[in-house]
This record gives sequence, C-alpha cells and structure tokens, in this order.
Amino acid sequence: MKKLIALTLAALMLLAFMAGCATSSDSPPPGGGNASPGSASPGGAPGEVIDLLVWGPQEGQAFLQKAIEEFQAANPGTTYNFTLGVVGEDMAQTRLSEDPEAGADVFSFVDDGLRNLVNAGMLYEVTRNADDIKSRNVESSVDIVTLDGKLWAYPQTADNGYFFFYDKSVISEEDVKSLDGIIAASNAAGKKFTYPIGVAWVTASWFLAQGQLSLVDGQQVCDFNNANGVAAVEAMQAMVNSGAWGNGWVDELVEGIGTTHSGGVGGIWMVADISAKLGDNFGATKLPTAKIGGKEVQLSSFFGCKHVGVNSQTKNPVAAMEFADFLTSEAMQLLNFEMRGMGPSNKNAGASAEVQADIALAALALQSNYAVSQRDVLGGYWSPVEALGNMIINNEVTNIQAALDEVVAQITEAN
Amino acid sequence: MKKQNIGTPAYHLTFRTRAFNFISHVALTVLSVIWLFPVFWLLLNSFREESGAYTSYFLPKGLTFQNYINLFTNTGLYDFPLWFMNTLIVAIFSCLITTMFVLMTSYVFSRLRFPARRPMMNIMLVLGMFPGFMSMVAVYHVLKLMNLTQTLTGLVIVYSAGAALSYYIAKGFFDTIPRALDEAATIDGASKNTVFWRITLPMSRPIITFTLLSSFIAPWVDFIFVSVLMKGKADKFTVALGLRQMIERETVSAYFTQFCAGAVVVSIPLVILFLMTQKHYVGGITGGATKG
Repeated sequence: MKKLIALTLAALMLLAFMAGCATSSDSPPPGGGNASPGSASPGGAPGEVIDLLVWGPQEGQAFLQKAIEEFQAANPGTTYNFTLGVVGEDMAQTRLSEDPEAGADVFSFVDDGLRNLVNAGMLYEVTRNADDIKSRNVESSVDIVTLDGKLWAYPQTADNGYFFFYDKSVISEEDVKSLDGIIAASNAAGKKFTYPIGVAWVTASWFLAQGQLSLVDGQQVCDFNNANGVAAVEAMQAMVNSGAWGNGWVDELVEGIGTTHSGGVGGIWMVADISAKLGDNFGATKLPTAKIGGKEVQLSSFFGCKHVGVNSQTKNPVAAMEFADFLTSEAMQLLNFEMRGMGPSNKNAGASAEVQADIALAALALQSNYAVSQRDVLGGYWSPVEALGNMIINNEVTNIQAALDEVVAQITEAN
Repeated sequence: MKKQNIGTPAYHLTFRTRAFNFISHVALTVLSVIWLFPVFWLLLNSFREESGAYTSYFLPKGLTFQNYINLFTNTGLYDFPLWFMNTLIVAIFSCLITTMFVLMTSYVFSRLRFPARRPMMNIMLVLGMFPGFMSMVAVYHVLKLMNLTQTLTGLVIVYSAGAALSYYIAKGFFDTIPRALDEAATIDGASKNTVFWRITLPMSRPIITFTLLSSFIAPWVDFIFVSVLMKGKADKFTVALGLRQMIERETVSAYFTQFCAGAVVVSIPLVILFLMTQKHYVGGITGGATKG
C-alpha cells in the first residue's frame, strides 16, 4: 500500500514536469509570425539604443563582426547595441524552439527548418524591401523561403549541395562526364572513388535522376517502389560491384584523394582540404551521368540554402529586418565568400569574377541545374533510405522490389 | 620416495594454476588493450602535427606540442581557457553544494525517525531514476523566471539542486556507523546537529570523497543542459559545449587535433582530484557496499 502511494506521488510529480513542457511549447508566441512591422521610423527614435542579438556559428563570428561594423558605419544616425551568440545554422531552429523569447533577433539557419519555424509562428514575415530581395537572389533560393506566396527569410547562400571532386591526373575531363568513364579511369589507375549511397542525402540522387521523390504541393511523393526505383537500385548495385567504388563519405575522401582515391562526391565544406591535397590537379564538376535501366541519365542531387531569419518576437523588428537585409546584400555575400568560402545566392555576387573563378562553386552551379530542393523532404525519408543504401553496399538486397516496398512503407508510416 | 609421491600431484596443481593464470592474464591484457586503445588514440591525435580529422594510418607522421599551445594562446575563435575556467568554477561550486545536500539528506534518513520517512525515501529513489533531461524544458523555464538562464549560477543550480535524490549510497554508509556512538554523544549533551558535524562526518571520509568526485565530474561531461541553458552565449560555455563548436562540418578538419588536445586537458583536473582522493575513493565504494 505504502509503495503504491509512493509510486502514485512520483507519477504525479512526473506529470507536473510534463505539463510544464507542454504549456511551454503549445502556447502561441505573442505577436505571431504575421505581426505587422509597426509604424516606427526606420532606425527608431533619436538617442535610442537598439539592442540586437545575432546568432551564427563560431567560425562565422569574425564575418558577423565585420558585417556589424559596416552596418553601423552605414547607419551613423542610430546607436545599435549588437550582441553576438554562437549557435550554428543547423542548431538555430532547435535553440529557437526551446524559447523564442530568448532567441536571437536575427539568425542564420538551414532551409529544412523553414516550414516548422513558419508553422510555429517563430519567423517574422519579410515585409520590408521584399521585391528587391526576391529579384536580387537566384530563383531557387527565393522559392525555398517562399511559403503560400509570402517571403519568410533572406537568402544568404546557395551552396548546400553535392557534386563531384576529382584528381585531374587520374580522371580526364572527358572521363568525368560519365560514371563508366570514372570507373574505367579509376580501375586503370588502381584507385577508388567514393559515391556514398549509405548517406540518404546522396542516395537520393539516383532516385531523383529517375524522376522519383518529386514534390507535389509542398509534399514529397515517396512511391519509388516501381520499375524506375528498381532500375536505380540495380544501377547502384552495378556501381558498388564495379571494382573502383570505395565505401566512405567525408573522411575517406579527404584522406584518400591524391593517393588511394581518384575522386568522389562531396560538398563545399571539403574544398579547402581537397584542393590543398591535389594542388594543380584539383578538379570539381557536376555529378556524372550513369547508365540506369539501359539509358544514360544525368545523376541528380538535393540542394539546400542557408537563410537569415528574423525572430517574430523581436522587440526591434524594423532594425532587425534592416540588418538582415544588409547581412544578405551583395557586398556582404561577397565578404562571406571571401572569409568563409560560402557560395552566394545573390545574382550579382554569383556572377562576380572571384566567384566564377572558384572551381567548386562553378561545379555546384552546374549541378544545381539538375538539383531538387530538399526543403520539403519527408521527415521519415532519411533513416529507411540510409538503411537501404547500406544494404546495397553490403550486397544484401536480392529482391529489389520487396526491399523498396518495405522502405516506402516505412517512410509513409513515419509521416 | 615419499617426498616424490607428494611432489608430483603438487607439481600438477601448480601447472594447472599456472595455465589458468596465464589464460586469465592474456584475457585481461586483451581487454585492457581494448579499453585503453581509444585513450591512447586520443593522446596520439592530440600530439599529431599534420591536420585533418581522419587518417588512414595510426601513428602520426609528426609529433608536436603546438596543438596544446594553440588551445591556450590562439583564443580568437575558440576561447578554451575561458571555457575551462567556467567549467572549473561550476564544478567546484556544484560539487560542494551537492556533497552537502547528499550528506545531510542521507544523515536524516539514516538517523532520524519521522512520519512518512519511508514513503519519502521511496519517492526520492524513484524520482532519482528518471533521467534529469526529461524535465529539462521545465527546469529551463523555472530558471528563466528567476532570471538565471545564461548564467553560471543557473548551471550550478541545475547540477546540484536534485542532488539529494542520490542519497542511498551515503545512507547505506551512515547506517554502518554504530548508533551507540550517537547515543553516547547525546548523553554527553550533543544535539543531532552536533552529532552530524562532530561524530558522523569525521568518520565518513570515504563516502565524502566518493560524493565529491562523482559530483565534480558532472559539469565536465554534460552537454545537453548547458546547451539549452546557455543558447548562444559563448563566454559562458563550458568545455563540453565549447569543444563541440570545433568539430562543426566546416572546421573539423582544421581543428580536430586541437579538439583532441582539449579533451586531454579536460581530463587533467579530474585526474588530479582522483589521485588526491584515490585512497579514500576506493575505501568509499567498498565501505558502502560491504557494510551496507
């Protein structure tokens, strides 16, 4: 009996804790995402100090510092009190959801968080200068931050995708165009290339190339358990067993390229290491074409952006929007490219000589013609596809149709 | 003749014992290599001269002390010394408070008799079994009401406020101290309070060191609470959260060896404290276990 009372009391206390969590996340944030920017004059009243908290990753702090200095220099009439916080783009959504009130006024984040942030009313709709923002950035990056015809964030980069790095001394510019060419050249040199199909983000390129995983009304359609999907898996199996394919992702490619590896799929954040290893032989281009179901098909990819958002609970919406606008302007995107190698989403910045001369960004731009936005990928997509990729790597898939049926069922179930 | 008869089986036994010893030592060696290998790997990487997060070879091509020097001098991007001091401050205060809480609670449950003592002990035991981060969001909002988020004080409270829930080991230890001592002191005019400070505590050195050590470690290894509490306030980070910043996708390759050096440096205060209290620590665990 005593035990029973003790347990009941314990359960009650636990419930109290949980109730605490529930109320904190359920209550709608005051103001909401649709608040109007107010009629305050830009920059606020004279003599007023405007507090702005800005979030960015640790390695981006120097860039933010410089941008803030220039912003203050450009607005001499107003006194700003900037505070910098260290929150990576990938963590911004999580940190903001925990307590929007304590969140930054202006923050960088990655695009797969956009829909959640908008639905939770945490983003301030971009109501100032929206037409200019839409026209000065590349269309794909604007599309990602537009939901229901409204602009929700400021495109900052258009560089979160993958493409093909290669060692020019092993693979010629002609060979790199097709997967067969890469396999032949690598086999001839006794080297491996990586194409990480155990990473669901990259595995998608085969299904996307077959026209699968398409988006209909902002919803990813996962019905690739059909003939096209089977052909994609068969092509992956052929690549894995080609003799030149090596398992691995970032670490293996960065470590092996130039010595044991001839090339591999990677992203913009690996450029510094790979170009240092290859020197003059550094090459990067779009993904190759591959023979899928008897036809030569261009491999596709997922594509993502980083954006700057304004917190819907900011006390200084006008100043926050002005700063976000400035932070994603042409000049600042160029600065971001110079200091951190980030690929600009701004059209003029992207067309500048420095960016054009960047081999990796050029490769990414080339690949973006065959890329699909990852903003609306179903949350349940990643794990089952990763498992499928690993089964292909281990040659464990014998009945492809059955395996695909299971993967699709798991994805559908999770959503 | 007689001697030899006795000698042969004796020799046989020794051989079996030796064989057994040999096999168990081989097994122990293999296990210790498996356990120590990651530590050794971390040490080697912290001295590795060439950068990069991943090498296909085990032994570094060059050894250097520069990673450690950079960790403490090159603080523009990652202010490790500050993070280290933050953690040290939090660890010292939370371990002192925790130890007091635990010892007092244990003493009360061990020596005093009052209504609802057993139910309270049971509730605390059950509550202590739930992982702390289940109540993380609630804790965060309570601290926010008190204006203690993004402060080291808030962090100390997080690590020490629930300490009393883990009273049972210390209580088991106190139960083994003869009550006759208490009674003798009471006859001499000591209050319960005096008995706790003058009689029980001086005899409980093992369990005090055990509690000190285990509570000192918590702030060094916790990541979840500190990241929720501090959000982006980099000058209040602890080492766990700070070091994590080094191995972001963009920086992992340049800073991985420094990250390893940081991980090695973090272990130094723990090792010092452990060596200082080692004798009592071992006594603490066995004392609590066998006598309790």
